[in-house]
Amino acid sequence: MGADLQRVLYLEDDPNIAEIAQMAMVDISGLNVLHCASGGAAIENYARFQPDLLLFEVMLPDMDGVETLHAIREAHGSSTPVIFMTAKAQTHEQQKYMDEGALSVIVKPFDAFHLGDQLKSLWSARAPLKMGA
Amino acid sequence: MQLARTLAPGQVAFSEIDLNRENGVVDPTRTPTIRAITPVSTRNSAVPGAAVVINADYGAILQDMVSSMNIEVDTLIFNEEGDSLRYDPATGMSELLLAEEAPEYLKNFIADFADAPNEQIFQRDGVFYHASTDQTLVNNPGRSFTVLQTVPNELIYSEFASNFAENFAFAGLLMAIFLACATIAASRLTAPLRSVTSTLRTFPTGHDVDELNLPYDRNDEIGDMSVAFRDLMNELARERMQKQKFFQHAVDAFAMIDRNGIIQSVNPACEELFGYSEEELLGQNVKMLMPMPYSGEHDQYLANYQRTGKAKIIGIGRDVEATHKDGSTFPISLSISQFYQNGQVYYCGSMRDISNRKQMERMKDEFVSTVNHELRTPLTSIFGSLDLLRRMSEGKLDERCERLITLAHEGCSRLTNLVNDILDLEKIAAGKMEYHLQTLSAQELVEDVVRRHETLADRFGVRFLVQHFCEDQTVTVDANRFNQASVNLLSNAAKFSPDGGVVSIWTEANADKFIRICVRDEGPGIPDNFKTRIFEKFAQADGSNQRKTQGTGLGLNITKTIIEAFGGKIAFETEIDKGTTFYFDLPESAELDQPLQVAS
Repeated sequence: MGADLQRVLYLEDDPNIAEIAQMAMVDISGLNVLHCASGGAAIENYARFQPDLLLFEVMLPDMDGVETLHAIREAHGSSTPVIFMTAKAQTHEQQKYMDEGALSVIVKPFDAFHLGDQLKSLWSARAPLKMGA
Repeated sequence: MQLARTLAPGQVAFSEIDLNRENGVVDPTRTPTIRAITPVSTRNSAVPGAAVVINADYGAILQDMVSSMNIEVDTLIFNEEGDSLRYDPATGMSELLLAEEAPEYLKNFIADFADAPNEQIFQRDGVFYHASTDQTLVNNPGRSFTVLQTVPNELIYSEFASNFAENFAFAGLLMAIFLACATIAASRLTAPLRSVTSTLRTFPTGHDVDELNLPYDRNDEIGDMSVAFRDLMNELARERMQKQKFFQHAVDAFAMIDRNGIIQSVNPACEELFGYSEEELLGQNVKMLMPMPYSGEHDQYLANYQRTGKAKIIGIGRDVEATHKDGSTFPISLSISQFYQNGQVYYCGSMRDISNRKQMERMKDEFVSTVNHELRTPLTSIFGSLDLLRRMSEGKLDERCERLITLAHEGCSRLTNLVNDILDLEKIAAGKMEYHLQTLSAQELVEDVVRRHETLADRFGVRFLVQHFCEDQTVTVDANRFNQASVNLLSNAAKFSPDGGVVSIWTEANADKFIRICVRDEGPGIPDNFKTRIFEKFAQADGSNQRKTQGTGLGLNITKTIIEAFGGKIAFETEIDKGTTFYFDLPESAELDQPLQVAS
């Protein structure tokens, strides 16, 4: 827990945004990022990758970010912190994601250059999650 | 015998009555005697000196006469001479009493009646007497009798009484006739009135006035009145019909309840809205139309309102959930008015199904959300790419290329802001801006905003200076919205300040429990012709410095809306070429960190 954020499981269906975000997180902030383009892929790779943080886009074609999160939590009893990214910027929409236990909601378009730093500081400042919460 | 000589033949004369004397000597039996004398005559001449004399017992004659009469009253019979005979029903007939033998009182009594006319009724000492003098008994003048009879009072009074009764009966008859006439006359006058009254009284309300049977044809006041009344009724009926139709055909549902919530009246739209018939609704408590928990609270709410006058809906109107007969709930807009009738308060609710509107709102919400998402996704790529490109290529590209990247980045920022502002604007227009209110320190809020937007100062080449001229106060705001409102003021001030200028931000105490937050720039000031439009949407003054006045023109409008949502007020002071100060006053809050939830 005391260590810095390293491994980020990144769920994003838009390839352009995924590329930019990975560039920012990997090249600028030096994070270890695994990008998945769908909820299924994220669930599949979760156990193998063992991420410190989930960075999930909410709006996805088949299984949305929240459903993916639920699936992972159920399958693995995981308490890995999650940060949602969304272009759905309305307040009540953001609140819904916070209610899912998210550390934060990052609204698109995001500040790409500072994305990695933002994730790191949110991760470090998180309140320890109780198991099964 | 001397008497006989004076008589014509055939004539009869009567002697005076006296005691019988035979040869000058009074008969010892003392018999009153009357003598009848008639001259004796042949066919052609009288026989001088010859006469026939008959002596008759006068008392016996009289007694026979009286007894032959059916006399039941006290009777006194007397002749001119005063000879008298008395009949007393108790003792019977007295002896004949000659005048000279009569006692003094009788003599006087007889004298009083001697001159009485033929027939007369007298009253003496309270006794009525009937006197009758008969001269036919004997044909000689001076040989008359008077019969004096007492008349019993009963007889007199019975006569009188019968007269009286007769008179009375007559008067009564007259009165009866008069009354009958009067009654008939009165009836003739009032009967139509009565009939009109009873017709009107029993005429069912809401019936066709043509069914009203009134004497319109009468040529009198009642006829006039009937016509006038019919006209009035027609007018009333027309008016009532109009109101009834208005009520019956209204698209909105109406229900009227009394002070206890009992439904008094509903219209067809109301029946349709809730699925109940009028019969099922009338007399029921209106809470049957509400889902829990409202149905459980409604009685209490009504009672509270009547006690305190604190209304939640009355005079305000709001969207609430309603329960259909089938148990489903649906959204309605409800407005309630109250009125008094006969001193009782009634509430009239006007309701409209807003399921469609809610559905539309949801769709619009989704649409805005989707459009937003679709706009933001490419924007994210562009913005992120430019951002990284700018940072990663620093010093590696020539000046023109770097300049192009900067311009693209700025354009992208503007587009992002515009998307955000439009989203906010849409929410404000729909009244859906959400506020999560907290009671926070005003000075900390201000310092936080300034700290987080130091980049603005850098970008526009100005300096932010924060000062506090009063003790700190708490205000109840949504921190994010406060930030949004303040940033608009900060960025405006930075944009319009000259290079190297100072943007002053300070707090000061304002009268009466308000704290004032001010943002001052050293810019060109706001021209007069723009002052009134400054808070309008898409308002932009024509600035000379195009680069600096870029913006959506929505910022101040949004700021004003947010500040007012906090119960505050925004205003500005400006001086051409000197600068502008925008300030807003927020009400001080008593408690700290008491989260409040208010409806938007």
